[in-house]
Amino acid sequence: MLLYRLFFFVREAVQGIKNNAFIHAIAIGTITFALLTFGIFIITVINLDRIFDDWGKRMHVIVYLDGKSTEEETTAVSEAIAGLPQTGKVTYISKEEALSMLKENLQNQAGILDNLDENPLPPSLEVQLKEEHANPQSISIFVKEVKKLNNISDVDYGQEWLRKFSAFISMIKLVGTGVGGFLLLATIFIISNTIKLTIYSRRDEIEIMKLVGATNLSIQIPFFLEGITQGFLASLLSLGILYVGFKLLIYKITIDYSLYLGYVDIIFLPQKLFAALILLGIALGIFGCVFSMGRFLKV
Amino acid sequence: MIQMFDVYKVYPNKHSALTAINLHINKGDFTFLTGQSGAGKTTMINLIFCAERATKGQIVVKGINLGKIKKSRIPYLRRDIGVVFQDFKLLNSRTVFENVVFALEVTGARRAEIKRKAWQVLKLVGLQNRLDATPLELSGGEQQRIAIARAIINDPTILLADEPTGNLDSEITHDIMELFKNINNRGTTVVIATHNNTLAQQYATRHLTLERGRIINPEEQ
Ligand SMILES: Nc1ncnc2c1ncn2[C@@H]1O[C@H](COP(=O)(O)OP(=O)(O)OP(=O)(O)O)[C@@H](O)[C@H]1O
Ligand SMILES: [Mg+2]
Repeated sequence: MLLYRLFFFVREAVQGIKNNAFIHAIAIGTITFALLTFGIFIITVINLDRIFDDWGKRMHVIVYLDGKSTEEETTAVSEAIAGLPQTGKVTYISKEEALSMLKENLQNQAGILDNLDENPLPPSLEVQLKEEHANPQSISIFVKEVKKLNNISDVDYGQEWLRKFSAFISMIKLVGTGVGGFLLLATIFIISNTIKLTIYSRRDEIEIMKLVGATNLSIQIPFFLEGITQGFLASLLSLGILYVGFKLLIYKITIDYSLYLGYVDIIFLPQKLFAALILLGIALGIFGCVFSMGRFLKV
Repeated sequence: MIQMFDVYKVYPNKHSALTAINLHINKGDFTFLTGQSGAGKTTMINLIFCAERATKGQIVVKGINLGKIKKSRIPYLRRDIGVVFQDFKLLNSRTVFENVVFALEVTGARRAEIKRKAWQVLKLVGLQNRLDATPLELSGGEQQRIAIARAIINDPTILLADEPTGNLDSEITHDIMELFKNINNRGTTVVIATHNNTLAQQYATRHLTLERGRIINPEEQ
């Protein structure tokens, strides 16, 4: 009994899609566009987060010591830092080592350093954090602790960089959420209108269905099936486009920007989000139906 | 089978279409509802299958009080009431067979049963050879036969017809009336609304006349 009804609903839905192929194509295009935007946004954010984390991993904290501190004081600081839970490896860099490193970096302009009466560079400790703490949040907690110690002149961990980059990521997330929300509404609006059109084009059929005693539910189900089909096809389409676009772009990015990327693999959507995007497509289709139906089913 | 007690119908535009209607149609009656254009015939038919609701008064169909029926029950009531219209209301993109079985399919009947019943009713209306034609390939009389087949495929206890022969010539009109008579003979209560008085006098076992929303021959009851 149920199976026969299901056949009937599916046949009605297929008929509906055939009769209104153009309208359905528009709806599928719209959902695809929305899902594509979501997909691009999600892939971007996920990968920026990964790059951000990787930078954290490779980042070390340089603790500049007070130039006038004694050897004991220096050892005390070094031990205190080594005792912090986040600390992995601590390397001492003396004033002299710092100067020779600077000279090396300056290469042929190193001459300007020759006129110095006195080495102006402070001694420092280069701290490599443990792997599990090598992320922006842990680093800032660690730095706070270090700053409490005596005989320290400054702590440098590329904070400006981190701050700017994390602000950049936050902004992308914010804009993405705003645009995404708007797109979501716009998509539901467009889908509900396409469904309205298909309902309108089938009003005779609906009238007769009511006349011969079809329940409202059985009148609605074929439209829901159409909406679900739209959403499903659109999500497959957008995933396909995303994947191809991703592969093409990734090839170029990894060649041109490998320096910045370090060892991060740029990844496509994780499986969970893959499924989520398909579900979102289907949900959009269903929502579109819900908003367009009510009015047509009176009496 | 169909009872009305002091029924009024006033449309939202304040137009009063039916006034103080009392009637009692029995099981197996072959009733004609006549009256001039605008007398309220269609309104009456629409009230019986819940396409409209009475403004005042009680309507009881098959023992169900339509003033109190739940919206969700209306479809089930309609499966037991076949309706035929002047303009046939067929789906022109579907075949004769598909049109006729539409009423069974929405109720979730089995394929074998659908075929058996479709064959039965199409034979009764004399169209068993045109299963694959579409309505527009058929004459008006044939189209009305399809509509009648669709209306009776659920074996309804009541068959309503609103001006069923309005678009047909007199010879075909009589064929269709014979068909209604046949259906009536199988026990179905038939109500036909028409402005054609002669037709009513020729076929009716019950004849009600409406004039500006009132029944003017209540002595018939
Ligand atoms: N939906 C409606 N809204 C407002 N007024 C209506 C509506 N339907 C019918 N009427 C009015 O109610 C009155 C009765 O209409 P009804 O359709 O029942 O008449 P009828 O006897 O079927 O006429 P006809 O022979 O022309 O079909 C008419 O005056 C009509 O204008
Ligand atoms: Mg009428």
